[in-house]
Amino acid sequence: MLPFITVFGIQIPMYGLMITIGALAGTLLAVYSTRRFSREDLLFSICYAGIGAMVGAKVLFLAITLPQLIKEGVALSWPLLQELFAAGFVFYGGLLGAVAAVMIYARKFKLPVFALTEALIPSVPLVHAFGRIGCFCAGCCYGRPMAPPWGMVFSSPLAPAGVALFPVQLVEAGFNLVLFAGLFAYSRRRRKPGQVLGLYLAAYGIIRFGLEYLRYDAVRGIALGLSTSQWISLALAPVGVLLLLISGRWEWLKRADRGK
Amino acid sequence: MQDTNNKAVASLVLGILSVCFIFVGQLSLIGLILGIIGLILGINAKKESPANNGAATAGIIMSAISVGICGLFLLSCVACFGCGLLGFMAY
Repeated sequence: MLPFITVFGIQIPMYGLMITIGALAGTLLAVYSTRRFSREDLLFSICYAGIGAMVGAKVLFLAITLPQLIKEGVALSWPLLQELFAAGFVFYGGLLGAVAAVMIYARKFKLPVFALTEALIPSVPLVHAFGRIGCFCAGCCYGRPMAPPWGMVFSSPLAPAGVALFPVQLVEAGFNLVLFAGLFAYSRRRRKPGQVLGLYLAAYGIIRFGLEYLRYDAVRGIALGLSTSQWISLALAPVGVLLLLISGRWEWLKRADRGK
Repeated sequence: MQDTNNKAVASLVLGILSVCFIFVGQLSLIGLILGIIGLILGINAKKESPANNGAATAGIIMSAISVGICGLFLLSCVACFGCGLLGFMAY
C-alpha cells in the first residue's frame, strides 16, 4: 500500500491525490465532450457539484456518526471536531448533494435541469473509480478476510494487521470504469430527460448493494442486517428504474428540461 | 449592479484569505470553508454580470485553487475516519 507520497519534501495523501486526479479527468471529459452548454456553464456547474458533493457527503456522514458518538458519551474536543469535519465522506451523500447542487445551478440560471445534470453524470463513475483506487492505496474500505490469492495483507494502519483481506476497492473501481464506459457510450446520442441519470442510479445501486456484502470495514451503520449504503441503494435503484421508464413521458420532466 | 460588485469583491477577498490558509497546517479546514463561500459568490457575480468582472474571475480562480489544495490534504473517506474515531471512543 502507498498511503502517502512525498513530493519535494511534502507528504501528499494518495486518497486526496487520486480524488483530485479523478475530478480533473471528469471535468475535462465533461467540458470537451458536451457541446450543448458553454464551457463556463459546465465549469461553474462542476464547481457547484463539487461543493454539493462535499456538503452532502459530510451531512450523511454526520447523520450516521453523531448518534453513535452521543451513545458512546464521547467528550467534545477540538481534535474530535477537526476529525469530524475533515475526515469521513460518504459517497451516496456526495452523489445526492452533487446532483441537487447542479439542479439548483440550472434552475437559478434558467438552464435545462436534466440535460445539464446528465451531461455531468458519466464523469461520476470515473471520479469514483479513481477514489476507490485511492482507498486501495490508503488501505481503507477493504473487503472480508480471504485466503490468498483472493486476499492480500494491507500494510496500512487503517486495515487489520496481518490479515489477508479481499481488495473489494479494486473490484468497485473496475465496475465503476465499466459503468463509465457504458454511460459515456449511452449518452453520446441525445436521450430523453432522466434516462442517463436513471441508468446510472439503477446500475450503481445494484452494484453497490452487492459489493457491500464483501465489505469488512467497521463504520457501516448496520440496521436490520443491511448497511446504510444498502438501504440507500434499495431506495435509489428503483428511482433509477422509474426514471428510465417514465423518461420523456411526464410533463414535469419535460418542463424541467426546457430551461429558459 | 452594486450588489454584483459587492459579491465579486467579497469573492476576491475570501479567495485571497483561503489561499493564505492553505499553508497554515490544520487550519486549512478554514481555508476550505472560505474557499467554498468565495467560489459560490464569485460564480454568482460572474453569471449576473459576465463582462468586465475581473474581480469575480480572480476570486473564482483563487477560491477554486484553495478548495482543490485544501481538499487534497483534508479529504478522506468514511473508513479512514472510522480508525480515527476509535481513538476517541472508550473501546
